[in-house]
Amino acid sequence: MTTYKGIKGFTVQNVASDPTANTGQVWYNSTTNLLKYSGVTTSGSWTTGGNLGTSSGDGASAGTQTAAIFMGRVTGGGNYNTTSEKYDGSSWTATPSLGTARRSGTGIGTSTAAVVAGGQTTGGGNISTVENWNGSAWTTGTAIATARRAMGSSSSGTQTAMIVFGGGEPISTATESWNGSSWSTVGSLNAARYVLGGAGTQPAALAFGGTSPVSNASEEWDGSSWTSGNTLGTARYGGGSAGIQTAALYMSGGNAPVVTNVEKYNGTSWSNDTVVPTGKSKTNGAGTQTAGLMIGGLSPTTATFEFTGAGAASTKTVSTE
Amino acid sequence: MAKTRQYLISENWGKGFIELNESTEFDIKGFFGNVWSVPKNNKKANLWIGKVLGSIKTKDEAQEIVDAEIQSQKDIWDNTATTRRHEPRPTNIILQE
Repeated sequence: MTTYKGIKGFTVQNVASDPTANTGQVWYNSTTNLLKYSGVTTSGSWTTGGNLGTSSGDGASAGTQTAAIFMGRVTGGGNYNTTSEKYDGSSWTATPSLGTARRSGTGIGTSTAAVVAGGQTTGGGNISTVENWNGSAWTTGTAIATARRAMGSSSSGTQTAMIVFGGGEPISTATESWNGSSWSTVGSLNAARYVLGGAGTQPAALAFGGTSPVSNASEEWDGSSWTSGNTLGTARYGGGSAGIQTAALYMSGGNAPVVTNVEKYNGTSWSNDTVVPTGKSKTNGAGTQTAGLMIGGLSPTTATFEFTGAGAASTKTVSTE
Repeated sequence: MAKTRQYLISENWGKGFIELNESTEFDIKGFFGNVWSVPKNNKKANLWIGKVLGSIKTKDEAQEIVDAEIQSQKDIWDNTATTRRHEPRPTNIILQE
């Protein structure tokens, strides 16, 4: 039977504020006088995250976009400190401090079970110190064999299974693996570099970018050796790293000057995604390829940015402009 | 050349300063000195400027603010011990029309 709805369709809803809508739903917002619909994003997008309590960069980080930890760092004037902050998806709060002031450590794990390894401490010396976070306190762990700063790591690894690689200075190819009780030296990177990105887990990690010289190289770790992968589109160092070997994200970074480029790795090749609003070098990353977090950076800043991959629900305005 | 960008200053308060719908509907760039750039003659960008209580600046005014902040960063870099210089000396940024 023919119905009015079948001939004329539905009436567009007239509402005072945007509803929580299903994809494809259309409505008229009588407050803003705009016709809107619910769609999905076709590329990544950036929003501001909560501001850090301390303007800083070049720390270590771990966790996800909604549960992260940022530990050790450089603040204004090149000062290193023990500050540690955790993020709940909205705001940062101070946690108990690290035992050793450092910058350029590398972070692994989650916001409740994190590791910071290596770095450079006040006075300029590289350190081998490892500290473990259990969600409420930092305790000293077993030191890595070679004191280094600005290493990469299997950032999505765990406190009982992780690798650290590269670093400097002197600039290194060394990789060390932790099995929960001891560190062992394992297969070396093909290209020595520091201030490089790292993602993945102990048996399946990814190394990318770095310096010196500024590099676009990426390498895949299979649990015993590194093999060269396809290169980044933009060579850089000190970007924010997130994700796993088959779905990694590299956010911003430095290449005199700072670049805003964002690239994602699919296990085979890198491709560009939406640039970050404000580029930073020596920034830190957390999260995944589709839900990333870029934390601080140099020159020191309190800003954090959250990345959401394509396909996110998004309210759009129908416009003829 | 037609001016395609407009400039404002506004302090990033953190969460909610740039929201998903805003970043997907127009391009937002941030610079030193709390200077931001969005497309000119764009209704959605103008709504965002209102939301963040942005103070509109001409390109030249924005350039002065960015230059001053970069100079400040250069001064900090110059006065920092060589061993504590973790980045190359800041370089000038030229804002586009």
